[in-house]
Amino acid sequence: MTSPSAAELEYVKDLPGFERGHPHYFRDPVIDHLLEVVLLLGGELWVNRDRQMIMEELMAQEGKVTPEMIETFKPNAEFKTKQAEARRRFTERVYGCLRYQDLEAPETGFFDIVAKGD
Amino acid sequence: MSQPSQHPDRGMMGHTPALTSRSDEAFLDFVSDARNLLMHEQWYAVCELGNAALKKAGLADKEHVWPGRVEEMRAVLKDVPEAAIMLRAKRSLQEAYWNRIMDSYGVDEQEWLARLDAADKSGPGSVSWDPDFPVPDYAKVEIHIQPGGYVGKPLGGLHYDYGTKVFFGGQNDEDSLHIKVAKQTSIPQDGKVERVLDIGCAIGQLACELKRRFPEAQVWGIDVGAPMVRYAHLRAIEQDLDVHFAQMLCEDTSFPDNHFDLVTSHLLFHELPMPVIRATIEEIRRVLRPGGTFVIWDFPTNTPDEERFALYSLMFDSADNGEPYSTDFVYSHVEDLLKGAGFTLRSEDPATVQRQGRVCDKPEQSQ
Repeated sequence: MTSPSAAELEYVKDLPGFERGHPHYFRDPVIDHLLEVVLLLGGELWVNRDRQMIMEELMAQEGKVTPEMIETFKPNAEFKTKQAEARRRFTERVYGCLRYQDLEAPETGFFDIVAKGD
Repeated sequence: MSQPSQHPDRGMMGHTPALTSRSDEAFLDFVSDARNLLMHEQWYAVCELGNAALKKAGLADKEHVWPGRVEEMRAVLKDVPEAAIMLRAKRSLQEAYWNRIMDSYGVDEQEWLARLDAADKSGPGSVSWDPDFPVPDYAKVEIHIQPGGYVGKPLGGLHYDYGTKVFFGGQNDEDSLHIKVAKQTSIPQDGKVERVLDIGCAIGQLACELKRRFPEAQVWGIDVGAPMVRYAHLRAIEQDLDVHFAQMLCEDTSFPDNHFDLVTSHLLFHELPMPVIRATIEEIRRVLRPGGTFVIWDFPTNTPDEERFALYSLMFDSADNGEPYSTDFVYSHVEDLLKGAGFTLRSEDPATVQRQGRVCDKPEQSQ
């Protein structure tokens, strides 16, 4: 089979998304920037919360904490669950007001179906 | 894969190397949760709102919208704050995770490049790639807005590995999605599976799982991106899997006629322009032996137009998430293309297609 010619594929360069672009979604792009800042700040705040939880765990378990102990910390299942739940609550508390509503999605998404398959 | 030595060894997360700091990992955990909250959990509800606004503006069918009037759609949705919030969150969080991943692994860039160089010459398995490979323009798109896409940065495969971990929001940790896909992949009716090819293999997750399922088979993975196949090979070595990777175009491979028993394609087709899809179907028919099977895992296409447009946000995935070809694919009838090329489809029911992929047999009597 011969590959499509360059001429046959010339049209792709005009498709939306061929170039990366810098889309904005609000009438005032400043709102786009502010929402992005707010999201990134939330991430950085969670980084500190995560670190604090690990430090408390290490102090309780080992009686000491070093930067290397934090970096190489391997949480057990219980800690993982506790931390994931804390993160979920944090995200919900800070950003829940931005969510329109929860509707149970129909099970038609490609990934949902494959992921849930046996 | 042990970590280089500039920082404490943080080990592996399944088959994926851990990021170089706990802070980076925590940040990406947050991104994953925020994506779930602001994108996935409200996707359908927001799509309903957006679709109503687009319908009112006369922009609610693909034929009149894609590709020329996407900016008009964008303008309409700026008056639907719920849609604006979701789309902004999606884009910002996507950019944030790529940036963080690249910064984190970037600490060890030279070490990673040296490891890829060493792996090129090691086994089990093999990798072939060419620094002067003529990558077609269509493949230079920054898919999922990954900086450099699959072809432009030497560590693109490593970035893709963690990036898709975040993208799947926990559904593919430890390659669990690929394990299921490999397990569910149909095989030729006669049961013979001695040579397997995965096209658009990216970092080789499915190729490796197919090797586990068919340990006696010769398994190949091909991809247009040298960064992908090089990292795929390194990742396979770490799992002690004898898989062969090569930089090749799926529409123009160098394999002999009638060579493979089974060819798979996982989430590749929606990243290809339609002329390349047509050429790829022909090429796979050529390299499959009579009675061989081609399994395509991808989004459904054979569904009613209205149902497809209800997820108009997929169009924004095309426009704003580096997937410019996916809209044409979703609105195509790829089943007709497959039949036109001489394949026999075991099922065309969209529900079955989503659960089992498009299972296409090359008739026994064909060449």
